Amino acid sequence: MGGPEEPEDDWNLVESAKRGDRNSFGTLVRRHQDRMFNLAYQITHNREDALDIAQEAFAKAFASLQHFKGEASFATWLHRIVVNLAIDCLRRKQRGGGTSYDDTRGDPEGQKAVLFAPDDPAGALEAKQVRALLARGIGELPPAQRAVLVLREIEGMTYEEIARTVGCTLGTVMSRLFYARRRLRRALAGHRVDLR
Amino acid sequence: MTHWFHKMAGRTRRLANYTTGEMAETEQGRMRALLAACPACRREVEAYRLLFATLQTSPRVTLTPGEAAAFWPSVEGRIQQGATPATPPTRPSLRERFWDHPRLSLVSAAAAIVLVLGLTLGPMVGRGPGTHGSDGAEVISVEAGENTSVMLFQAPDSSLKVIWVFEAPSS
Amino acid sequence: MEELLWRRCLVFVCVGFAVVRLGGSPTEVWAQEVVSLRAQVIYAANEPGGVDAKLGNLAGELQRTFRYSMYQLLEAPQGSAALNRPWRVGLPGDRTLEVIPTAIQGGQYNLTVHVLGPGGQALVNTQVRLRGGGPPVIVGGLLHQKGVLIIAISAG
Repeated sequence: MGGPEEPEDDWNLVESAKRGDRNSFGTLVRRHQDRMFNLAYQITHNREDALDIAQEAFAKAFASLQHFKGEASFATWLHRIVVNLAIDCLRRKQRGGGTSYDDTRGDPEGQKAVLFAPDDPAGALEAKQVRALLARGIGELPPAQRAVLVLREIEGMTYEEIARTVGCTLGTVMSRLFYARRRLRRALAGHRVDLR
Repeated sequence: MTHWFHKMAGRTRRLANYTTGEMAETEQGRMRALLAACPACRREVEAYRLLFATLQTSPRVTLTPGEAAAFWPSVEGRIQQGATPATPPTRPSLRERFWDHPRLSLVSAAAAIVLVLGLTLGPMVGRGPGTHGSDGAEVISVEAGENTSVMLFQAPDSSLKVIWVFEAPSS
Repeated sequence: MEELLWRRCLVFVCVGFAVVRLGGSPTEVWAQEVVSLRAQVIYAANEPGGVDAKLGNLAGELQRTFRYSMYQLLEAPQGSAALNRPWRVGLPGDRTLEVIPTAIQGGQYNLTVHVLGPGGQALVNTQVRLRGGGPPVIVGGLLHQKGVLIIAISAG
């Protein structure tokens, strides 16, 4: 879960930031900004929203720094703030008339089809089709299910880590994940799967 | 051919768990034997493998150099404007809690069916052979006038209910 | 997505059906406001004349109920009245029949019936419940010529 630096560095920076050293907090931001941006993007799949969420998450973390006691790592704590903000963003958009989950936007370097060998154009095309189907399926997931799915399947968190991050029970995590996976499976229903 | 495994409750969950390696070792051997006999189950497992592989290889997005450089200053700006402390997410809307929730939406559908059955069958259950007014007329109350008297009767082999008025003869 | 879609459709259909059942269809709502009423005013006496063919099926019922030798349909006014509004029909001998629908439920009509004398005095007041299109209620015994008046009141 931690970055390349030791978690203790994060802890020391947090303590310095609590004493008013804003530069220490800036170091924390630069260390984790890419990861938090990517997490926000994987949930919302909207670059502008992800940027806004990531920045807001760090600002809120700074405002709540005195409440951070170190039971979890700083990164885990940040994950929680980002996930909550992302879920809020999705719910606001749903009330306002729907969310879009456009898989063709967002990554300026374009899609990287890593499922199949680079010299397999047919496989690359199939991967793109599958990704498009999944993108649509993910876009239709309720915010809470989408967040859990991203944390598990993309961020690779354990169930316990997800429960701590999202702030729910283990059973709720497993239930949301089950339903999210099933819905995505159905999103792929029209895609022919060859037996190997 | 419908394999017996198809009829097992939680089939989808088992297949997904097997695919992700979350199935207990004691069950995995049995699952492998079943998959050898069930082409539909094998297709299902392959579909899950494709699904998880696609998700896990989702391209990671990064900040552009310009975005990265402007990130911390933007955060500082928000701090200076007075960012509020982190709070739990807003409560899910009724739609997300009930409409999007598979079990609760199923309960809602079941409750709706019960409501319809109750409204449709209720009156029919309450209406029995002994209930008055179902076919013929029913006299609820009768009151004579000041100078009259009344009698209520029904002939044995007739369906007519009769209110008979006895008037005082005019002089 | 399809599983939730059919559940949602099912809930919508069922709730819509429930609303219709509870609130009544547009046709039922219209029907609740205006009730069709009919009165067959019959002169019965022990006189030659037989049974008026215009009485139709009612003739047999009348003969099973009474012992008159003559049944003559004098008039058969029809009309309608809104709930709690009177429908008035003049009767021979300066009398008045007043029928007021008071409720409708499940094809059953609650009626308040007044028969008023020449001076407006009540001869009989009664409350009845009739099935729409079903057997009428009979108010009879009002003196007329050499016999009586028999009034068959039906609704719906």
